[in-house]
Amino acid sequence: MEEEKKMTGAVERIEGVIIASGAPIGSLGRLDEMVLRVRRGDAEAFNEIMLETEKRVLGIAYRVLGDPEQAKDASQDAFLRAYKSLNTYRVGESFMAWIGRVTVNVCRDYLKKREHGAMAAADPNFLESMPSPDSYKAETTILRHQHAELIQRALAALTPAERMALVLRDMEGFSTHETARAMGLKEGTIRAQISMARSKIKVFCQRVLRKNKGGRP
Amino acid sequence: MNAPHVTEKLALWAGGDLPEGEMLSIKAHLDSCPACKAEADAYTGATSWIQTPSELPFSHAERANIRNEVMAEIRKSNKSNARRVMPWLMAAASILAAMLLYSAYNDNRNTGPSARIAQTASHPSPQTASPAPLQNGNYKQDYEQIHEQSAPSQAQPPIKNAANTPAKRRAPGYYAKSQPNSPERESSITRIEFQTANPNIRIIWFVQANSSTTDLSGDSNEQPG
Ligand SMILES: [Zn+2]
Repeated sequence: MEEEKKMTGAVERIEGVIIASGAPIGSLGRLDEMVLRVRRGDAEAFNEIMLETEKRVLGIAYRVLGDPEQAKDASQDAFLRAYKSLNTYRVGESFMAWIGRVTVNVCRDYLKKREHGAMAAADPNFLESMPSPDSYKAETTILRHQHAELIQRALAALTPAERMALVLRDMEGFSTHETARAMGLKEGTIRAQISMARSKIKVFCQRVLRKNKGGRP
Repeated sequence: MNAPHVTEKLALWAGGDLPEGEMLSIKAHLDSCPACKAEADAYTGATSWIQTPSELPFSHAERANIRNEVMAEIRKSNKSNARRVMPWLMAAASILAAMLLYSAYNDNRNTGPSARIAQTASHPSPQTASPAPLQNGNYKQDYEQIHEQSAPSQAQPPIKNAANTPAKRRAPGYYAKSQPNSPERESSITRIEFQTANPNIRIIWFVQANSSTTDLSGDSNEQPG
């Protein structure tokens, strides 16, 4: 055990990076290995990191912001921010959770900009202006479109904080602790937001989905 | 059914966000309370609906475009970082190269009859290894003189009048090297001086030929190299 600790110390020095305490050396995930490659100067490895994480980043950005164009811009910003602050990531932690936090922070900035009028004020009907399903992937079925669109409509009924909490906890699989950390709030606050968000989603389902083919309940 | 209803907790219960004990007691209540059970089913349905993975409206091309934009930005910023560092590296490399060239050139010439670099006696005492804090204590002036005395292998008069010699501004690349001619030659010090392009920076080396103690802990007002 002592020896293992020494080994960890050695690797910390060799890599010159912060490794989360207790992270077993040799069991670094693929993402962690790519992070180390980027830190060693192989910037191209970041492209692989993006390939692995883009669904999460785009998913959070799209569901929180509700607008595909903004979601693309926010994702780009999130990746750039992640690249610049890659040294703050502790190898051995969950990189997915880390990049999720980075994305949440970028989205929060976008939402703030909206509030301050730099962008169109939060539009309760912004889903109406979403591109029609035809402009999405051609092979996607109508039901899938309907499902995705209804989800966005349900999320639009939430406040930004409730939406963020619900997206992270229920849609991105963050734990309550991870959600609280990403949003910089206490776990109790997150539970209250999630509880409120689920209540609103339930009402949405009861009112809307029964009339819709895409709805299940 | 006398137990209090649990509707307020059902939103968290549906996502498994309550402590284990509470989860179990709510489950027990639901088994015996149809009203709460119906509400719980609605929550469970809504929660599992929202958790169902849904399509993202981004094509492969759009995602590739995001990655390309990010990589272009990263390459651009890395390039400009390199551009900021390169001039310094180049300057350092050229100074080093110039010094080596001068050193090699002058070493060659020293061995011939027309050596331009003076070799002068400097230290009367082998104990005082400090290099030519000479008669006027001004390295610049002393070594100006050393440089100007070019007659090789003659007994050099000690430099006494250096204070009268005005200090010259060295041309960049100016190089001077001195060695004593005295009988204590083996215990004395060679001084090598190099003027960089910056007139305020001159690099000076003190090289001792043998093992006698050297204390160069700088009473000099110039920076040793
Ligand atoms: Zn009940």
